[in-house]
Amino acid sequence: MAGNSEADTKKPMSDTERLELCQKLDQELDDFINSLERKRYTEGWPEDRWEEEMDKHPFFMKSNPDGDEMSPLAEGLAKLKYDPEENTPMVLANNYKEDGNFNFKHKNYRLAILGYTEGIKVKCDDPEINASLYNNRAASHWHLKNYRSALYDSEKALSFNPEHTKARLRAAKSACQIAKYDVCIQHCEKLLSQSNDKEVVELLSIAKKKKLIQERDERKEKRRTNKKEEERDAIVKMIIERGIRVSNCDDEDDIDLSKLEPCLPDSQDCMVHIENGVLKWPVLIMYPEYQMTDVVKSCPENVPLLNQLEQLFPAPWDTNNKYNISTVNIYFEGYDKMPHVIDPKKNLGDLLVMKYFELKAGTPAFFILPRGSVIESRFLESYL
Amino acid sequence: MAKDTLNELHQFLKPESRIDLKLISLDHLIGVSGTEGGVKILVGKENILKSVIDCTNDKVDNVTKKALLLLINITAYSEGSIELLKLKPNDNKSVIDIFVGYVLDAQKTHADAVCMILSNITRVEENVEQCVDILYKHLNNLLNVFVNTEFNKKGCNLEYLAPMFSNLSRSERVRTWLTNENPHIPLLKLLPFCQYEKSIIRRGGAIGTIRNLTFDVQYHKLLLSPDLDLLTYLLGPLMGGEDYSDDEMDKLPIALQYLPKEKQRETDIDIRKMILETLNKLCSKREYREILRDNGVYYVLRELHKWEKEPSVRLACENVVDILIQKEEEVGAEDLSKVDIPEDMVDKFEKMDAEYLNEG
Repeated sequence: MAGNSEADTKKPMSDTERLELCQKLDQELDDFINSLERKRYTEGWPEDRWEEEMDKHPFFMKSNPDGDEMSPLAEGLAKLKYDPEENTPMVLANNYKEDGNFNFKHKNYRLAILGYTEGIKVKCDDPEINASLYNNRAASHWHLKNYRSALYDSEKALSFNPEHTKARLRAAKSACQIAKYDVCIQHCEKLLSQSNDKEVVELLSIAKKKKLIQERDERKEKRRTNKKEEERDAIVKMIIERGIRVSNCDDEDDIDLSKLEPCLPDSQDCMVHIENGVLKWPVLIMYPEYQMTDVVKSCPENVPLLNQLEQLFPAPWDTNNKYNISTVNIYFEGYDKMPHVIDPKKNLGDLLVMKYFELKAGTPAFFILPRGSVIESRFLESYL
Repeated sequence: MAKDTLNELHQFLKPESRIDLKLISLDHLIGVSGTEGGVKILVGKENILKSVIDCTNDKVDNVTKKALLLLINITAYSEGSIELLKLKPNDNKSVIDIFVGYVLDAQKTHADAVCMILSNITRVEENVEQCVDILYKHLNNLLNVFVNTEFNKKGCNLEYLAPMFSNLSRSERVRTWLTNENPHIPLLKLLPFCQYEKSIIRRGGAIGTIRNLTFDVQYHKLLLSPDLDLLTYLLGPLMGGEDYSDDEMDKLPIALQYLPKEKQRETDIDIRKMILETLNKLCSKREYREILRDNGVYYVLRELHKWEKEPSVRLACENVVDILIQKEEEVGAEDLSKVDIPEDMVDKFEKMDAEYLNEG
């Protein structure tokens, strides 16, 4: 430093002296700053609207202000650089490219994109400039993580100049980002046919691996859905075979799984399913007296309903201990809109094919009432 | 009598002869070449063979075609193959030189016949090294032509280059070429043909080449390296659309996981057997056996065994499974290829195999 070397040659200044001088200088500077008029800088562009302001300034504006007459400076500037009358398309495209490059260098990628886009719009007939405009716009998009646009622009650049290595590399990278691995692989292979770039080799191997995984996942998903469909078909087939009447279905062909999906909140995940060739149903048990319900999941069709009920009694709400197998009557509501009493010793599957039985919402439903009670007669009367 | 006729035919086969005479002569020779005895007579007639080779380049398409057919017949017998290779018809060039040029020319109409001749000539053990001498510098070109399935513009598929590569891979030099970067490993280009649906010849050639490589333990490391992904190509043909548990699925090479239900196994018995022999060879060292286990080879073989009806393939399958289901302590040998098997045991094993096959 200049100051230091001077001090070295003059020598005589002692450490204390130097310290004093420093303090004095600091004080003077502070005094000077404090003496300045306290005023905020207000003429700058507001942060949130700087782009707008910038566009208004003749130096930066990209289009003429609407309606208003142009300021002479703006007019002059526009004429100079961006007026199609004053410039050949090639010069114009180049000017826009420079504008884009300027913004790109300053990491103003959005502005850079605007510049390149203007340049592209000129449609000059020089493939090199067009390739370069597209390639640079691709680069801007890449930095903004707009990989789809980056890929599109890179490929556009390649259409003007297939030998544009940078554009191809970016195309490959962008394609990889958006999981278009085949496209990525194609570009990589083209690049590798010209030179053995390590970066490309790595990208290619990554893309190939990811592609394998992608394909595997697709196959897995397909297998899963196929399996599900098969299961569904099998269920429908068994229901038809058993001759169970399903509500809202005109005929056998009309049965599909959507009509078998339980609509009770508790039973949505327990739709009828097949286990070892046996249908397992969700069963809804209702107690009109207490307005209570039970849902029993996975009731095998080849087991008496009785067995399920035995699990439910004694019910916690049944304080008087009125409900047990021997003291209740069990009804279902048939498609004739009438209650029908059933024998719980029968297998669930046999109940489902009784006359008048109809499967609603994929869930067999039964009413339970104390035999001979007032509530039972009221229940039966309500159907008359 | 026959001899004299043959000598007379020679003059009709000269380039300047009348086309109809050439055709009649060639037809006659093709008739002669139909039997082994006939071929034995023909191989003694150097002049005639040379003329026939000249005819393969005749301006008249039909002459070329018949001459090539004749040579296919002749090379079908090893004696014919050996004699043909000895000939230096013109400029000291061998038939191999001439035919390589033919294959590498995309405009040749009968390139497939030429590929068959090349496959025939290289099949004979004594010819291999001599063929490699000539072919070595063309190997890259031939491979590129083979890989590009639409190379020939006259509708030839060049599938018989596959068995040619397989034949040549019996030579150490070709095995080295196949496995060394230049700038890519040539073998990589051949692998996709292990499952090339359209041509059983190409599949057989590709698998045969790999099998020949596995006879040499020094290549096992490369063959089982993750980059090459060989097991994908070997196991793929053995798999159908069967279901595996998720745990088993995870072990399989990723490209073989969750294959569609419609997936078909390799239909050719010999190819299936070759693959199993290849896997067997790859069981040489403990570290390689562990790679096979880690890639779920056992599960694939288990499913194959359930499906396989051909006794010899079942036996080949069991041979691999027997090694893989053992724990390493039970195998008790680092390198199985180095285990000495006493003469009498070899006999015994062979007898057992024969009995097994008879039962099947």
